[in-house]
Amino acid sequence: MIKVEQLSFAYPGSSTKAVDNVSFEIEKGRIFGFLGPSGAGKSTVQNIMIGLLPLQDGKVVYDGKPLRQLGKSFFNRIGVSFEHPNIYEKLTGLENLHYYAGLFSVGERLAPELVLDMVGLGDARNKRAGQYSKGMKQRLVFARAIMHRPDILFLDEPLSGLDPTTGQRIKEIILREKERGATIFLTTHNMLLADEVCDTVAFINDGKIIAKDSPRNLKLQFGTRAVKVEHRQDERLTTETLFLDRDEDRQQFNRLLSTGHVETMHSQEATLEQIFIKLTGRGLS
Amino acid sequence: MREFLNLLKQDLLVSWRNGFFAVILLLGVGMVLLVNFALPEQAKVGAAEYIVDLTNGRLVRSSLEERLGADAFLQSEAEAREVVESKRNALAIVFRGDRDNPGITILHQGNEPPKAINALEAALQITWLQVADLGYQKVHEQVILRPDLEKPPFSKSMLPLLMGLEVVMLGFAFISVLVFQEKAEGSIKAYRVSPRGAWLYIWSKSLAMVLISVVYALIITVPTIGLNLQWGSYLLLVALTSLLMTMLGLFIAAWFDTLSEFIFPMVGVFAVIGLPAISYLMPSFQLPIISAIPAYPLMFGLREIMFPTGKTGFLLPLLITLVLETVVISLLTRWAVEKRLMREGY
Repeated sequence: MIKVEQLSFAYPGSSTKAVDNVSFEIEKGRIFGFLGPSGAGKSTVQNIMIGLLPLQDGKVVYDGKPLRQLGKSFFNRIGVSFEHPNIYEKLTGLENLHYYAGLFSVGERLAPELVLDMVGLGDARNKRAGQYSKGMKQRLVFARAIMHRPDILFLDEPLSGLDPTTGQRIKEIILREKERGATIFLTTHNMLLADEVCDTVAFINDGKIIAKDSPRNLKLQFGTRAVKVEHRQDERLTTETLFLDRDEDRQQFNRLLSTGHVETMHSQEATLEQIFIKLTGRGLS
Repeated sequence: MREFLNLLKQDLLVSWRNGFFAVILLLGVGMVLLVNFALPEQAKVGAAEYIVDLTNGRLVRSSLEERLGADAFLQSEAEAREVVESKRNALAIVFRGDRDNPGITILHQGNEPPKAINALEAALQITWLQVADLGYQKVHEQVILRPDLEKPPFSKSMLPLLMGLEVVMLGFAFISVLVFQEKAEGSIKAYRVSPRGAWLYIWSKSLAMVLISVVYALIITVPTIGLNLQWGSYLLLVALTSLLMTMLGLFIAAWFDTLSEFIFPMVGVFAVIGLPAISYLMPSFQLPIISAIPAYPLMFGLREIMFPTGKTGFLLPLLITLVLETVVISLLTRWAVEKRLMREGY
């Protein structure tokens, strides 16, 4: 379990806090989505959690042990996939992974060749990383993060620069990592990804958490319970939006279902993006 | 140990891909060609002396021509003035008069040390007594404390100077390239979230640079000096100096964000590193501060190893000084790397 309590941080020379009284918990084996636009404080929180920025105010506790008491071996337990690809460009993809594999003292790890195959870089393993496209570099960084089978994964925009097919492949790996028992801290402004894979999401804006719950609960809380129905009557196609909290609409909905004339039906809950805009008045991009 | 070797292998591989080995090969071959073929075997370092003999009976020329050679003699004072004005390292001595009434004029640049001119004046007194046969009696003897060994050719004697400067500069320059490359690529950030700390980072990079410097030294030494050398002392001296300068390079590079910001401090360091070259060319130029510059013990140590003069107990204090300096610099480097490279920059 990861516990973050009343975390605050200000960069030297800045009068405003980049992170202001942020608290949350992540259960073991769960995916926690940290959502917000650029500059909201997402990366600052992640950097404090992994010890790259000093802890100024608040606490970060891993399995009951404060971050300050964790030694260098803590890094054997975590895998970090950075938003901006940071790899040795003069080395090949395979050489990069061999190098990083050698840095960790862990019992079980995935073979670099295997993990490259998993992320779809098997054919490019002997190509210099400097010649990779942005998406390929992103996948290499992702592969590096999961290679030593860490207990906790910090994934910062893991789908950035990826085409939908490759993105789907990475999404599946993230879910497999969760099944394996890894706890995942996912930083993103990709609401679709968060909606699909996260157990809990927190919205961060101007350094503060403004909402935190499961995607479903957020949608229920901030959205409307409505259904958009297309049905055919007397050879004519009709579209109706029915609000399920109104008796009249509910009866109409039941009637349409019983007649069997319904052709399409879509629930009308709000998207995470719409909720974020509703709460902050600004978009995520 | 496995982690260290992994890191060292990677640093050597990146160095190879950066072309560091190609650079040292080219530099080394150039140096070998320079020493073996371009530099003369005999060369005079210091002032070029010319004589004008206007004495009655040409007393000086008949006495000194065999020793100094005909080229050292000029025909007139006007010619002597012209030569001294055109050659920056020239001075001329004009002899005139006769045995009983001599006159000697020294034409020089004016920038020579007064001590050198005083010594020349004293030598001229003795020379006149000898050439004019005025009863000079030699009352001194020379005792050389070291064995009277053959002096190395000028070309080879420049080797410790050229090599000493380059070995220290290479380690300093190459490690800064590696550090700025990692900063630009961001790969240093990935290292920060691994369980390996600052020491391993420092030592793997430093050792990689030391290996490159040793290879460079071998590329130059074997074709010029040969294999007859005290290899243990030689390798230890090169490795220790390179290690010290590499760590110094890392210590300074840690405080800068880009290679372009680092250029000016690097030029400053190189200018200071070059100062011992003055002492090497003019042994009388000795300041305590200059002997503390790492290039100094390296140059003089290499000279003693390459062309032994029989000096005993010379190398050990040099090596001890280098070790102590390396210990101090390594502690400073660790502090700088921990503070500036192992944490997220603000």
